Amino acid sequence: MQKSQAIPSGSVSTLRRLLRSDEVSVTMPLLVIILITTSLRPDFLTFKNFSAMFTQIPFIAVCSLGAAFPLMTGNVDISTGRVAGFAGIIMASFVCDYGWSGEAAMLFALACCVLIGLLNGLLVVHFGVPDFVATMGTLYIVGGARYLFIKGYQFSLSKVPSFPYSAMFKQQFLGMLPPFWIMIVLFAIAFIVIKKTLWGRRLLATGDNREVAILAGINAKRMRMSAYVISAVLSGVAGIMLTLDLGLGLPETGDGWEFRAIAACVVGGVSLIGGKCSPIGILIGVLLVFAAENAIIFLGLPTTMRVAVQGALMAGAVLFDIYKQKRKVAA
Amino acid sequence: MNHIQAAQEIKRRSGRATFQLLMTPEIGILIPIIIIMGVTASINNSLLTWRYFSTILTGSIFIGTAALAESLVIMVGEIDLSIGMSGCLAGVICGITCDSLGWPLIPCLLATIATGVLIGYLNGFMVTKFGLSSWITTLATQFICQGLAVTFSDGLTIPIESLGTKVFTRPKPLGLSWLFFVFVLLIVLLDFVVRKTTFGYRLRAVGGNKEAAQMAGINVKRVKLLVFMLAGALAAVSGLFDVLTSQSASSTYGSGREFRAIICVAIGGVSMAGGEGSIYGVGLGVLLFHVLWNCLRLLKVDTNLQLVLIGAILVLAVLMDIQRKRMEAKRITL
Repeated sequence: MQKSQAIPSGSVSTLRRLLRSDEVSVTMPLLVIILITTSLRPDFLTFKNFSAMFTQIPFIAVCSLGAAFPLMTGNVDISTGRVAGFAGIIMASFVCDYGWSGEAAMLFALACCVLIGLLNGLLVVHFGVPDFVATMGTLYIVGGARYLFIKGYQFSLSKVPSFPYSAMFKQQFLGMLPPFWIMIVLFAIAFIVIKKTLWGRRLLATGDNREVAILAGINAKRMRMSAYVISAVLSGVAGIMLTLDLGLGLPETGDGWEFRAIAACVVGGVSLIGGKCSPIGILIGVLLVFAAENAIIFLGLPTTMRVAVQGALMAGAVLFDIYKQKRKVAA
Repeated sequence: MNHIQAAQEIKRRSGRATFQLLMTPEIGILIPIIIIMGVTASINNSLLTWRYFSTILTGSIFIGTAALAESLVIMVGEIDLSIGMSGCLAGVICGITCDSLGWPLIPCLLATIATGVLIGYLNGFMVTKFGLSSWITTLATQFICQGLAVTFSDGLTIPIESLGTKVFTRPKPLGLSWLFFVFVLLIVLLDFVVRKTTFGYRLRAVGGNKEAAQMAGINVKRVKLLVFMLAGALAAVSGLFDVLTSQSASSTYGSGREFRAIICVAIGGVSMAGGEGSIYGVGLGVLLFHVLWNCLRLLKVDTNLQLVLIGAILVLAVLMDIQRKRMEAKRITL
């Protein structure tokens, strides 16, 4: 079916393939939202509004990138948001209370994230606990544990003289704040790893069809484990970034990110069945989620609709994913 | 020599029998309940007064009803994350129909339940018709329900005075509210449905092995759709309990209830993979969850440490279930 359409000319089929790619199919609703909102409120499409949006995006974007790794292997991790908050608090607490240097505290926080990722992976991969339930357990454990470091006062990092990072995060490089550039670098690395390396292909193969992957000699268990570890580490990076950006260690950092991250992934073309992921798509997905939220404010709709719109976006994206897969099978 | 061996054999067997008894879900839950209560009572004996215990029981109906809904969905091999929020939306609908529109009691209650059933139908329709994974579908409906509940109620608490419902919340026999008896009735009814009716049999068959059930001529999609609708109705009942108890409706009720319900279901010995579990087990799981929660409160454990403990218990409960299954499989192959 697809082939017969492709016969007339090569350029048409390339165009069509491009139109059907995940990145483009995410960009379409984004453009629609931008167009509609701009036609009603011209000040929506301004550099100022979008650069303001881009100061908020990097944290959730990195978290979404993390959440995408388990999704790629066909599992889900709903502990990402709490892990982000946990990492931020650990770093802040060790810098403020125990006088560690910034680097050591960051490394320690990330090491804790690795442990959490390993715990998730162990439960899901080795013990066969359903992924949703296992990561929900860690969500509660980590979500409670981060409050145990609070001793009734705020960790204000900007007041620690030996801690330069907080001030560094206030300086702009090339017109953007450091989180933006960190996000770009991480996404670029993820893009190369997923699309170009053997390891990335193995990861996708594990998610696409586990049996076939195992038959092809891929250590599926190890791939799924490492996906959970990467998810926890990237969430930790997101949490640390937000803590540095705020200059404050707040335990609530990252609450509710997990589902927004998954929503962004799904909108960005990460298939929930596994085996499909494009970091560029995720980035556009995050942008879409934020643009939709922003558009609600601009259009003067009640802000209470925000959550409902997120739900509708996610449902739409999942339905679209299923539709695409059915068509692929048919063709 | 023979005697000793025989004695050892008997000891071994009886040991195994005791062990097996411990491993049955229902008994397995009762023991931690008793231990926790014993430990807490030795430190703070207000737990053992019926007054305190009856408040635990009365307070357990909200998460309890949600857990009943969740257990049905989990038994059929799916998961429903919209339970808390669909109950909340149903409660808000109850508030609006009663307060703003001034409907009488019965149509009001019907509208509430209908809301839940409708959301359940939406979930079931998307899951069965399009083959979506249930957690993402119901997560989306959770968001939608929450948004609608806030929008309908304007984020305010709707007081309900006209509904002639005071009678339900007034403490009645044994210091329990009438609603608790409704909850117990629901448990008994659902247990009957799950164990004795064809529908219940099909439900467990679908959860146990979908392909086999399909081959046996069970309409898997229909069963799942019905289960989601039933769960929606139960979620609405849980929202209704909130409304009747507090005499008000608000979009803040029931948030996060689905997670607690899942924990209760897991503690109650329902297999997270579907197909196994009993409603009485879920009832006991609900009891254990609330007893534990209250004991931690009585022992003045830090609230955040409570969360950590509850997460750990969830993981442990599921691990135990998996271990039990492995041992059963070993016994069968031996």
